[in-house]
Amino acid sequence: MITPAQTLTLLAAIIMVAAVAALVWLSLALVARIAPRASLTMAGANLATALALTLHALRGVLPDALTYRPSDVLAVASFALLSVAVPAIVTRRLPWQPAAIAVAATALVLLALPYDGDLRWPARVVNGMGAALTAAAGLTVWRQLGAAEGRRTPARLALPLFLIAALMAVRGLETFVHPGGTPDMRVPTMFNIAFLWSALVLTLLQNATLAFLVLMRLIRRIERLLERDPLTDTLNRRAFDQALDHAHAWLKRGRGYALVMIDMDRFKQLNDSLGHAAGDAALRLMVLELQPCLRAVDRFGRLGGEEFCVLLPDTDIAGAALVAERMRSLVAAAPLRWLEQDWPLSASFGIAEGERGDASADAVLARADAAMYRAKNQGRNVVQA
Amino acid sequence: MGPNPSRMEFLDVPTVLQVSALFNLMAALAWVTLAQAFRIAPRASRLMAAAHVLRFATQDTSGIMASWPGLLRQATPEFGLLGCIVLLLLALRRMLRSRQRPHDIAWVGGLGALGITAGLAGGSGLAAELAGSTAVTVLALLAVREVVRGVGGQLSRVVTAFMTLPFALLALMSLTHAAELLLEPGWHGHLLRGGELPSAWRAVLWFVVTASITLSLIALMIWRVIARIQHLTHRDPLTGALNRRAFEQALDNAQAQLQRGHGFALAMIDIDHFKRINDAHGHLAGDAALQHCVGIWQASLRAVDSLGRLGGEEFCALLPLASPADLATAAAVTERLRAALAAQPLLWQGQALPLTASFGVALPVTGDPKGNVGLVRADGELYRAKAEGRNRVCVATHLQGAP
Repeated sequence: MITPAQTLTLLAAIIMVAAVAALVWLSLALVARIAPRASLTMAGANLATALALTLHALRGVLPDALTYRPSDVLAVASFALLSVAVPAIVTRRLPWQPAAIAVAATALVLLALPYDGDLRWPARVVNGMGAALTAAAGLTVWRQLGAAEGRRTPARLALPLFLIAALMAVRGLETFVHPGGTPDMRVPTMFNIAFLWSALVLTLLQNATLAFLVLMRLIRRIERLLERDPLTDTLNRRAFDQALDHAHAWLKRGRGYALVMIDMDRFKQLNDSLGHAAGDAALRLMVLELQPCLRAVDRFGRLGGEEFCVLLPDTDIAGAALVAERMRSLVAAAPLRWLEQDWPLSASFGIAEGERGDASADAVLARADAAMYRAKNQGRNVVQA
Repeated sequence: MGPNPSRMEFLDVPTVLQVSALFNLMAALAWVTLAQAFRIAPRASRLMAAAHVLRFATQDTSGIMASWPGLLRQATPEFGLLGCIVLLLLALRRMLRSRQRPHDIAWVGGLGALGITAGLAGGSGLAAELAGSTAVTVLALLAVREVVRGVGGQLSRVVTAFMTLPFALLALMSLTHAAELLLEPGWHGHLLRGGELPSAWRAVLWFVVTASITLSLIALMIWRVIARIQHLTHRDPLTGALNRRAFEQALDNAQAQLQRGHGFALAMIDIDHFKRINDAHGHLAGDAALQHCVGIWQASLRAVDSLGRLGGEEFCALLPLASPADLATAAAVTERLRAALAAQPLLWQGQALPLTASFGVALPVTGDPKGNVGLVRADGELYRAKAEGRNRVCVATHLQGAP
């Protein structure tokens, strides 16, 4: 036996979950300032859900002009906001225009439709639009997460969106299967009970998934802070040492590596004559100039001050010499523009290859360092092995 | 007691309980996922998951327990709730990194369990419920204290209040329930209660409390993550002193305050013969020396002072002053830093390496938003200290405000 109290209780539960979720997203955006635009949109989506369902539940209690068309338009708006918020957290863009057009178009269609007695066409429009919007958002998120090769944010995090799309599609199709049925969610039918339970689970799941993605973003930031040098965004000493030890462990299994030690020439002179800010800018410029020489597998680290090192896996000394020579010419060709004046930059390069006899990576690093000092002694702006 | 029942008539109590069970189940899943995916507070997350699972398993939502023997039917939710709150409090302590040992939790939980057992053994369901409610009230109040202690001062009062609210609500609910039981006539001889459903408003209230406690703990976890990010962006990873950017920020703020009459002094610091330590004992010894110095100086500085690492072995302390031109206080604080370092050599591989530093103290000038004039003056005094033989404090004699 299904009673009207059961559907109403479930409706109330979804409204409460959505309202609380709206508050949580609002405080994330305003108090914690985490992903503020996406969080605000998510708060809007939950608020629209709560309002749409509240108005729906109050049909017959409040005037019809409030509880029918506005409720349906709010429902579409909540799907539209959701379809904007989820991709926004993943891609960091807020593609609101298509969603806004979809809501406006649906509102116009709903205005044109008669709301008397048979409400199946409005229900088909609302549910169809909701399914289309969430499915589109799901596809965007799926592609984006899949492309990011994130082992910890797999593409299946787009799943809740597809489930919501499926649920709304089923609700739309049900009006064709049961021509005599009514799209009122309060009617105590088995279908409505199943639909409302699914909707409750998906509301919780979607909000939790999104919160997970937001937290993941924060964790990424921590990891970045822990392993990057804040000035140049290259690996810091600790992270580079780790990568080097890793490469050295592979050496025993037949995968070689080479190091390019880089030291900017006359850095102290530049710092003393133009100031610290110019020195910082010069380091950044050099790092930027070197980027085209790096493959995805290479590791670029700042060992301290003006000294950098590049780790080249699967590379021998000849390969390293080619890379270093290209780096040398790139740095020498890009002077630092500071206060309307060009300040020529150059760097000295020392290369070394990991050998099976090396007890640890430190020995290779020391050879590259010694080679770099020979380069300095030869008058700078040269590569030495 | 409670609102007019007819107002809650549209609610179906079994459905409310099932929604609550669903929420507990999903929250447990969420905490397990958090523990697996982020290594921020794995043990706290697992404790929270256990609390939700326990609550889910011991709350009758579909009338299954109606067929159980009376004793089990009453014991399960009572012990379940108590255990759930104990786990929650343990998770809270972990989350807030409290060093307090869980003796108090064990005592309250143990006494509560004893009370429930005694009540049930004596055949009085009400006595058991009363013992359980009292224990839950005390544990909830402990949780309130825990949150206030853990975050109090670091977050605004409104945020702290919001985070304690769910636990306060839990305490209030349990207390009300205990009072209700006491007022119920003839509870001494009351037999074990049947498996009747709670009233709609109580079921809803329980759901609200469960949900808000979960949210409060998630908020605490996010707060910890944000605090870690801030620490990482503002601190030098090696020594824990402010990094250059954060120190410049602090100096900017201090310069702005200077216009309003809040004075400060700058003490530029350079470790003596640092290169020798690096060359003679290696980079690791150099790093240890930097950490040693910062550790000693942080202990000698006041809470209002800030110490920043400007680069290499160069540091600067920003010392707020009670009266704007109080160079004497600044000199005294700096002298304390010098003496403390000179008195404690660095222990490196069983060897005591004496360390000293030179200090230059100067006052800032108004109308210098970046504070560069003060820094240059302090730097000048530092060079004088180096030139005069190191391990000393030199204080600028310029008058404040003179360009």
